[in-house]
Amino acid sequence: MHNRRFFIEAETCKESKANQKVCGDACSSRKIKEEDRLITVLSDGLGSGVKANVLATMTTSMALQFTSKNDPLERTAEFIMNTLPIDPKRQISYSTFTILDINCMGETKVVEYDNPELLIFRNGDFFAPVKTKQVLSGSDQRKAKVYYSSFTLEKEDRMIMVSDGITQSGIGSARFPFGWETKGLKTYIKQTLAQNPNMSAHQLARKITYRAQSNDAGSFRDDATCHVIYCREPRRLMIATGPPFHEQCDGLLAERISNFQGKKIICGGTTSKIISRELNKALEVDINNLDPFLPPTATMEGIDLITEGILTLGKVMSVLEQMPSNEVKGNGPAEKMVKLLLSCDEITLLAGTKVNNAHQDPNLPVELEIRRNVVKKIASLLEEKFLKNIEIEYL
Amino acid sequence: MTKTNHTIKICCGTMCYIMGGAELHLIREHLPESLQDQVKVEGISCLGLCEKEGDSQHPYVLINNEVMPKASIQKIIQYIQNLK
Repeated sequence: MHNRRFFIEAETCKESKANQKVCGDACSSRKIKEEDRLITVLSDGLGSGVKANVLATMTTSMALQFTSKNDPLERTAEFIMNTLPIDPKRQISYSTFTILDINCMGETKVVEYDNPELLIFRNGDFFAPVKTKQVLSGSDQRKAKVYYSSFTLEKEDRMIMVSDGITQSGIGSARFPFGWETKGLKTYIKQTLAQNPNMSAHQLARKITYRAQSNDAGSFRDDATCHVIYCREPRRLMIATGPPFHEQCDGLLAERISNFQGKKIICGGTTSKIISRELNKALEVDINNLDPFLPPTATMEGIDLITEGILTLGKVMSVLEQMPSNEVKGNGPAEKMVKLLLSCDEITLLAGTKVNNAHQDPNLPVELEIRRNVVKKIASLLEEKFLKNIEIEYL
Repeated sequence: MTKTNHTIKICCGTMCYIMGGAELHLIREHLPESLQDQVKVEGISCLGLCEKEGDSQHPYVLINNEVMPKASIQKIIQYIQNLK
């Protein structure tokens, strides 16, 4: 956010209908860095499986693209409705959608079409903004009721977007003859947050999804998606990697990391030695290494994690690239770093630009990447895939 | 004699690690029984020896603070046995 009032944490938890490999819901977010804006779209395609997924993915990508280009939301909604194919059997189009557009001041615009309503949780209760209804007609005389609303986000607000797989979970059972419904979901969210007011978006999305699954006796009857947005005080992290180009800057680097408020990672043997020397703190290498593919980690007072440099960064990059969700398996140095990275919102990368001559030998058996490139790649992955705020400083 | 009187410090820098240092971390498992109690194995961050140009003799190990270039498990064991 420009005004740095709060950080927006956004997380999705998605489960497919039982026995389906592909989820028929789609939820994607795009962060537009220049405008400090976040757009999220959740869509539920008709039916389930691949066909539903294609519909939903088409909807989300069109909506993201139109909204990010500042097309009026009405036009976006109309265009999507006219583009989506009609199911030949059921004679209806379509996919549902909810578009959320949050600007740099926290002003939020919402467009809702046939999805369960967007829930906004503020100060222990749900808050309902005024909605304007508009009837749009598609090319084939279909009428669609679309709801618009807008409001300004405040710190500690949460927004919960779900697909109907969640609200209709348990339908037909003795306990929920008409499904869990928004009412049941609201009660559950209220209870959960009363017990744990600091719950992260990630945890809440998972809890809601698992609860819906248990309503359906363990196997979903429809694709279920839950997207949670949480506005909160940012958690900060600093990574120092690589020695500064000029030796005179060594002290500056050590000072930056020692004065930083938040979690701290040092990545690189030489870097950790410089910081240990400048701060006069002992550095101990832990040789009982669990990951045989990476050099071991070390410990120093006041630093959360110390690892080797380029090999570990390379592994971190590939773990981030391949991760389907926010769950990290394993406990090697790279996995530890990924866990720390994902648990924070604002990450500062202090990248030293000194080149290690020993790595430039063309006879080396493995690929030793150039640090600056790897750092840039990790930064863009964290920014685009995991929606973190990243700052890179070169020393 | 059960006193520890030899210290092996293995360089954990990137270069040493990929040039064979990774195996040295397992040296404990290869030590003959007579040496088990007498040797202390530690990790140490990059010694900076690799930066000398055109002189790549990784991996480096410090045995009782003496540098051993191109170290291997066999070489280290032999060196310690000769010290006795």
